[in-house]
Amino acid sequence: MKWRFLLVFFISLIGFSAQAHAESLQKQIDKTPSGGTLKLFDRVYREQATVRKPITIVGGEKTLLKAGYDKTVLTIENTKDVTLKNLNFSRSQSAIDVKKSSQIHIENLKMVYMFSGVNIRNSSDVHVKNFKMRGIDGQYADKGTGIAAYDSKRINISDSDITEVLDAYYLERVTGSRIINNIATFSRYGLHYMYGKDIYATGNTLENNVTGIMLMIAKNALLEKNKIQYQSDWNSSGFTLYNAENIVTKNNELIGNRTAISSQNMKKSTILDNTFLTNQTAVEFTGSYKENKVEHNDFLGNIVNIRSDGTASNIVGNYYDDYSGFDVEDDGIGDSKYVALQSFGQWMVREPAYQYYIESPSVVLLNQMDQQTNKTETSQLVDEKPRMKSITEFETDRPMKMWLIILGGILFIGSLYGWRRSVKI
Amino acid sequence: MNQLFIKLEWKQMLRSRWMQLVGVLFILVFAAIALIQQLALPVDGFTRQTASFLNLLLFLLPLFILTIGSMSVASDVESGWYSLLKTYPLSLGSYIFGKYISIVLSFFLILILSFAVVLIMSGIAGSVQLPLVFVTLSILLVLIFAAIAVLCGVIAKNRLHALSLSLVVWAAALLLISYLLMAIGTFVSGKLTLTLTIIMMHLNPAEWIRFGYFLFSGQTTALGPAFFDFTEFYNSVFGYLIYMVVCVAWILGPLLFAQWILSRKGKAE
Repeated sequence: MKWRFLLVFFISLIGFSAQAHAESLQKQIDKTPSGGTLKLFDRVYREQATVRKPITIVGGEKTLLKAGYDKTVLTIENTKDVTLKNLNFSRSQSAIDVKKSSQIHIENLKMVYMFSGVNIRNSSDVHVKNFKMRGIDGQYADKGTGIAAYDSKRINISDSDITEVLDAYYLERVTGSRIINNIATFSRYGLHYMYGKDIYATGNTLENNVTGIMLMIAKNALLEKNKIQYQSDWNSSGFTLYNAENIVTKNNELIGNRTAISSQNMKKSTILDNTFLTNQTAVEFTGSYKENKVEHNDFLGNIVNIRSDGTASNIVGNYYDDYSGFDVEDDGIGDSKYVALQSFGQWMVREPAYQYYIESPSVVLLNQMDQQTNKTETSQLVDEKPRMKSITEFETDRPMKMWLIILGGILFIGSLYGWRRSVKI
Repeated sequence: MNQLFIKLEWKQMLRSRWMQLVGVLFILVFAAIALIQQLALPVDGFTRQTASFLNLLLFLLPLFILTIGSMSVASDVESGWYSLLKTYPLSLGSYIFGKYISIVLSFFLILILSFAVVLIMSGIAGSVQLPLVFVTLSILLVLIFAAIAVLCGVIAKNRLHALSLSLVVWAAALLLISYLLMAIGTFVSGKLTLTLTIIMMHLNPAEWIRFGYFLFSGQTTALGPAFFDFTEFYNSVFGYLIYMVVCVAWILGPLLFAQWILSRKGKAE
């Protein structure tokens, strides 16, 4: 009797749990009361679902959601206070669409081989944190965005890592965005703003993209303490600031970019306390205005420090590693002005074919002559108060390499011995 | 006879005080630039540091090779050594080849010494680099400009003429042709400037070596989007092959031309 009871109990247990386990995602969402928490099973969900009430969805360690290459997995629509945590997505058109919603929290999401990640439309107070995504293989034209927001307010993205997509973080007509401590690599644009207002981006690392930050037709932005490096492809740049107004780029490290900051028709903006290190061109102005300031930056090892198409900008108090003046008064400011104007730099802006000659022997000599003849220049690209000391410090922990010393020594002594022997009669 | 001649020429080249001074000067400048430029900042990609290193090679090596090489050949004619050599069973081709090889070997020795010093400094400082692309291009520079030096020496009437001719060739290759094209670019269309620049790259060995740096270091994007199609072509296996063919043409062309001039001079005498 006892064994029969145990058998029935065991079979019913398996049956019930299998039924619950097999339940669709949508049914599980529908069953969860408003304000409740839905814990997903450690299994693969192959379906689409919509969230229209304030709930929390938490995934298990092996929870995987996929809906197919032409479908969105989860849609959050006309609701507020939704939280999504610990979810994995793969092989779908998009992971999450947020529409007309507010107070949305998305945390700890991982996705691979996705066309796009999170799309936010007409929503406000959306927080995305710890989001990791790798896009699909192929041309940029075949890829989607990592996190995209349209016509929304107060979008916060932090601690995320996106690679191999079209635009890692795309914000269009977004007012009040905070993009903090994120990474974007091997994408077209790392961070792309269109028609945005009240922008704040800090602590981001943007590396090996076509453009690090593309900011177009935007107002009121503070871009600070970002690391923007190795945007070195054709037409690449660290920042492209196009038709933007009241933009402050501050304390950023811009390293090894084709053009570190390309400023096009920018107004009332400041480039302050940045380090420009070994870029091909550090700052390029086209259609600039006198009220744009380039102040207190470090220019180190760049091929061209500042160039423009002839339009004005206010350059003051920067450090230039190729400044050859003195500071007799010892006040930290060079006694003579620094003229960044180079004939070749101007030509390169106007005629792209001239770029072939960049830092060629002929251009190096031309630049030397320019430095002599440009001393009379008073208006264009002139820094009246160049700083004598850099604000940047480099780590110098370089251990000795004995094998190189021995190899070099053997080569040197061997060659000298060979030379001496050869000249003997 | 040919081996003996090469050995003799090489000995004479290495014995030359001028050659020894050039060797010391090149090693000092090469090592100093390597140390100053590369210790100062972290280097990656085409930066002012790598450009300086490249320019040092492009400025100094051709200058030294052209002047020493051409004067060595011209002095043979001027001193009567060449007339004496003609009484021996030594063909014109062997003479030209012997002079060429002796110049190449002498400058290889200077290069090895320079690289050895940079390696020692790399070991001590822990960061100075000697990229393989620079080593390869230095060897190419010696191979090409030694051939041009022989040609200059054959054309020249005496050592002073050889020196001035070498300086003209050097200035034209490194500076004048570029300035001329830049000047032309101010009044012709951008498309024509681009075409002329590409033609000039093939016809100017210094620019060809410089383009080789961009090609083999993977830095072709530094040339800008205007050169996209051109660099795409040269970034293929066929492109590399064409690059090598042009290099070989720049070595064989001047040597064959020098031999032809010498044979004409011989007939005229």
